[in-house]
Amino acid sequence: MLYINCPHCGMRSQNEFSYGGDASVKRPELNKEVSDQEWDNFVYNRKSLRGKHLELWQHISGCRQWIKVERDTATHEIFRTFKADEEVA
Amino acid sequence: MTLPIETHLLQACVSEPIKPVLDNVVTFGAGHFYVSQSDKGEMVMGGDLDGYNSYAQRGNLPTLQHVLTEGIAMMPFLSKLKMLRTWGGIMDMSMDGSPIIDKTHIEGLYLNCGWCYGGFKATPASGWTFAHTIAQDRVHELNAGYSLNRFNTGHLIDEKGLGTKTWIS
Amino acid sequence: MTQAFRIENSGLINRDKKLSFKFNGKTYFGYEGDTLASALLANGVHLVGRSFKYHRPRGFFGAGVDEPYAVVQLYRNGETEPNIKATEQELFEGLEAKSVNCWPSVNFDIGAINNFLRIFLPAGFYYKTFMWPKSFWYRIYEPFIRKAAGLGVASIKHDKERYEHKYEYCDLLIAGSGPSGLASAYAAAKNGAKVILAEDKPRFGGSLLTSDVNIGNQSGKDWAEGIIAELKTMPNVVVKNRSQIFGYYDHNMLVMSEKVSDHLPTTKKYHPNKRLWYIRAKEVLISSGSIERPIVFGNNDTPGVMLSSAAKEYLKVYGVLVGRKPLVFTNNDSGYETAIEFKKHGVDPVVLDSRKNPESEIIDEAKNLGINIKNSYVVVAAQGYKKVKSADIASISEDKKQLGKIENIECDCICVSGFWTPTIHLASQSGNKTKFKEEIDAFIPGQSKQNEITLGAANGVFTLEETLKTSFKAGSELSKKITENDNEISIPNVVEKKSSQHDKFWCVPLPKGKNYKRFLDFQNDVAVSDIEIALREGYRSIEHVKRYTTLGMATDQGKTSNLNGLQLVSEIENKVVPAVGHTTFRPPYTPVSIGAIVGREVGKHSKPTRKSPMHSWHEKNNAVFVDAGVWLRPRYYKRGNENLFEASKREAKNVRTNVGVCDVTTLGKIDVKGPDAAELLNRVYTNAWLKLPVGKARYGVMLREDGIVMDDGTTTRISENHYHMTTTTAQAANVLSHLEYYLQLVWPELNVNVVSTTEQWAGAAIAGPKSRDLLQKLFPNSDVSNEGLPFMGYMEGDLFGVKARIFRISFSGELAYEVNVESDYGNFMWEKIMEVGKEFNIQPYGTEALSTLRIEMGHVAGSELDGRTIPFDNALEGLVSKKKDFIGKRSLQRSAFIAEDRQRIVGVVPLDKQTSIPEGSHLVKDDKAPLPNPKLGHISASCWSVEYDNPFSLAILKDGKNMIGQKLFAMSPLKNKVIPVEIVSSHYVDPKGERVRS
Repeated sequence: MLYINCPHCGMRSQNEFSYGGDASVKRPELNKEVSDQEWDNFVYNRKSLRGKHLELWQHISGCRQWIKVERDTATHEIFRTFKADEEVA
Repeated sequence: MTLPIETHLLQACVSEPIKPVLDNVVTFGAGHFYVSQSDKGEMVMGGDLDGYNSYAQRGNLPTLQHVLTEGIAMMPFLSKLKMLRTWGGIMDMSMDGSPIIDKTHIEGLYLNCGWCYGGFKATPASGWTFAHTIAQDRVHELNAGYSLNRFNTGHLIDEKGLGTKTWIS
Repeated sequence: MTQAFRIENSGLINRDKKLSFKFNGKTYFGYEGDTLASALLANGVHLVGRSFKYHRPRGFFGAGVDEPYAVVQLYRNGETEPNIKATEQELFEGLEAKSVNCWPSVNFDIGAINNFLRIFLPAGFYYKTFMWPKSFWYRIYEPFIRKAAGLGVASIKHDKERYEHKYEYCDLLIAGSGPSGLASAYAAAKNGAKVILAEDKPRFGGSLLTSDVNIGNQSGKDWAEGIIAELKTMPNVVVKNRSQIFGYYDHNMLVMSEKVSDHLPTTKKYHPNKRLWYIRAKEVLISSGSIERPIVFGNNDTPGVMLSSAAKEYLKVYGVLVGRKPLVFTNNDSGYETAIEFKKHGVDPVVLDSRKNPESEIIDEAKNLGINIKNSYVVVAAQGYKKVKSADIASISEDKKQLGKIENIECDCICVSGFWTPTIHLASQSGNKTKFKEEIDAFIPGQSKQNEITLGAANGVFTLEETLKTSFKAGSELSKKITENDNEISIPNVVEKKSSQHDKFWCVPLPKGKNYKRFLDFQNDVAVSDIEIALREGYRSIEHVKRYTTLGMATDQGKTSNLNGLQLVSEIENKVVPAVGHTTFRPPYTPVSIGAIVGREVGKHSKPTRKSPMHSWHEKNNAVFVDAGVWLRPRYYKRGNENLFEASKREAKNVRTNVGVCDVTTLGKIDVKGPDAAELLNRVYTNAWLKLPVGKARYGVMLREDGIVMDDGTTTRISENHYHMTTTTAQAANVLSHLEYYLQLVWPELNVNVVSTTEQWAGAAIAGPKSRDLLQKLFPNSDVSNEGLPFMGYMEGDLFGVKARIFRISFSGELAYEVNVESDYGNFMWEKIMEVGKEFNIQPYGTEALSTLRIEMGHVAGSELDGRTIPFDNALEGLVSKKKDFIGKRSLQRSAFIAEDRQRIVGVVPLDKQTSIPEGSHLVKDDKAPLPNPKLGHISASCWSVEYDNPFSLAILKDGKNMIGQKLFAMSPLKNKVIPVEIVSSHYVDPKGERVRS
């Protein structure tokens, strides 16, 4: 079971979190014209990376904050975690 | 090409072999669990994804715990058996839970993917229509619905109505 | 019955406590501290089972988890359990066990005919032999194979035992209490680290219980006992016996199964049968020791052939002789240790050593004791069917290819030692890439992957001195990192006998003209010849060879067979073992009780049960409950002999004519607060929200980004910056997460807070033409007239001193209100409504009547908002704003979503006005059309219309807009029904919606 460092609460087991998928997906701005391709990329198309993957988790049974987790999808190793509004360098 | 597919992890397990008790595959839709008995006598069981992108081919116990909880809900006698072996494999989860069998805009490149975790059970039909698609360079009427552009047109085949959260199984 | 093979002055059993037990119907005696295996051996019972494929007689091979043979059916306290290893099962008074996989009895087993048919049952026999002719598989082969399959018999009874889970955190988790486990635990504990030490056997000490060593001027066993006694007194240490760490998962999470009650005749009250520990450890020390591996020779599966270490363990731990004329067959010094123990107890062993001229302290001791030793000698084949009677032995050439003249010597057991295989399972499970260690012909852990370190024999270190030194050091250093204490531990003086190099020899060649079966995997009957076939047929990867031959796939998971299998493959393939590699080690290390894995989450405990504050009132008033997600909701309130249909019809009718009250507490409720709350709602819902006045409610629909309807509900503006959102019961949690997602990640600039208030408010829907009259009496000081509280209006009121929220909203389509009070007052509110409502003939109504009312009004719910429909499909396109953007709007432009013949909700009435249409039925044009009959739509919800007194259904129908008045067929193959139907408007009752506004 993964052990995730919630930036707000500290190390917590995975069963306190729910998964939110690829964090690199950016929602197009409201009221902006977007092409079909851009929209499909946002809604459906995923990079599905093997290796380092920036992804979203929500600490639903804790602080309820959405966080970003940098994790290796091949080994499950977690490198870093970020608050929702933190820039990932 | 970027595909509407994510790679996820699915675990399964077998119990120790026991004398025959089950002649069919039984699936439990509401609980998300399946079970059959192998010819060796092992109960073969599985259900949910681990629930996060993964290529690791190794899962964690809470998922199997959850799957077996549903199993015991349906067949309480499973409780007295022992789990002998577990394994994990990677699944190409499409964004509507259905496969893609299609030609692509690249000449000579055909797709037969996104089978999620039910793929092999449809192998004969998929193989036959895929062969047709390649041989004739056009889709067969039976796989026409499994097109890649359905995600663009909205002709989705989302039997569970879960949408794009592929990790929810 | 006498225990003829029990000897005096040896063993750790409690001879003061004699226990009786039954095996295959016969009564025997053993002692407390025995295993079923040791007790049977004490009674001279060697035949315990039959092998899986050929049904060859099988005895005992090991003395622990590695046991491939002695699998029995156990009877305990009126329950039965299949596939118990006799070598692990502790004896208790009244234990009963039977052999498995043999019929009619273990002594006369009909399946043994397979032994003579074995030419037809080679490797891959499932895949090949039974494939042709094709039709034979289902009719003849498979039924036959299935009948023969399996080991024990599963009880089909409900498991009455109770299993618990425990979550634990520690600094050091130590797997195995042999010398390395004890030393590292002791050192770490002295540094104040929080330590958990786990031992799968009942006794702590591992190899120290059987080896002839001296630590700090005590015997190894006494030293171990002293350490354990001290560890038990330390508050920072947990020591657990009967506890197997079986899985090493991600991020240093290990799982351990503790057998709490299996060694007792019954489980004590309030005790679990087993306890599953999820342990998150900072550091993991793997001191799981090693397992002796056999040397492969002819008929090496005959009862009486066993591991030499097991023979020693039966002697030293249980005081049991596995034979009186033992033959020890070894390629290393361990066999001598067993021979010495025999000799010390008055039994004369013969030692066959494959080595030419080995020299060591141990061998010297054997020689000094006068033990008969034959060098460069091997066992060619065991003789005897149900028990070893003699052995064919021969000298062997130095290159191990040529056998000398075959001699036969009498013996009653063959103790075999082919050197030691480190137990690397946990290390490998952690992700550690193992490496092959040439000197010991086995794999050991490589670079640590997680925070794990492997010590002692598990790491391929076979001298006690080295093991203790490295283990004390590891325990001390790892704990120092965590606790920053550094307490000196002086390493005790060790006396052990030095041993010499083992012989790289693992399989005795077949003598000319003989075709003995030489088994690798004893339970699954995988012989050398099977591996040869697999390789001949082109299987190269060890993973494929494993699956094709089933090598290592039995209940012992190849603990004694895998390495010999690898040796064979590498020899035939002319490769070195590391080039062949080993199959992946996956949890569990030993089979784990499924009951223990599931724990307490069974039956009613499998999910939490949520109840409304009015639940006890419903119970008292004959409510029949239905599961709505995790909530329990009244489905109907039973009067007299009413059934569901009659009761729900009565309740619905009463709403249409008088007034009814329904518990709607389960609806999701979310408080939305902040200056940008209206803006958030405007982006989340499809309709406009910026101009909703305070004190007004509005119905809204929210979409997913893919344009599919996610949920619907009413949201009320309580005050300037405060909204009260309601969701469906099912989607409550998802909607909250959805809002949090957009607020935290997408639009963090919005100044809004959301929080669930579902459990803070109890809700009652009051519906029916007389609801206003009732409301007026409940709130005499409020103006609830049509002008004072119009449709979609909101006000606060005083309910006999309790603050209440009154919403004029309707799901039933009648004039209706919803009253909320703080949860603690829920029951008070309900009782007041019932009491005051009496004069208006109020009746409570359940979910069934609620469904009837909404269906005939054409109001959509979960069965239409099923994750596959867009607003248009639900006739909700009027709520989709053309002016503003919102979540999912862009997806609504897609061609399938704007197609002319897009599916849409319709009403469906059977032509005979009698036959109810099963939900899920398909709508087709022609009921006689050939299959697959094109499906035009499906029935989403059905009810008995109380307004028209005939069945009515809702359906999602292709081109539904233009289908009104059409005649179709509703087909339900599941219920074997074909019903001619007419398509009508989904708004079957009050299509103009006048009642809600009246």
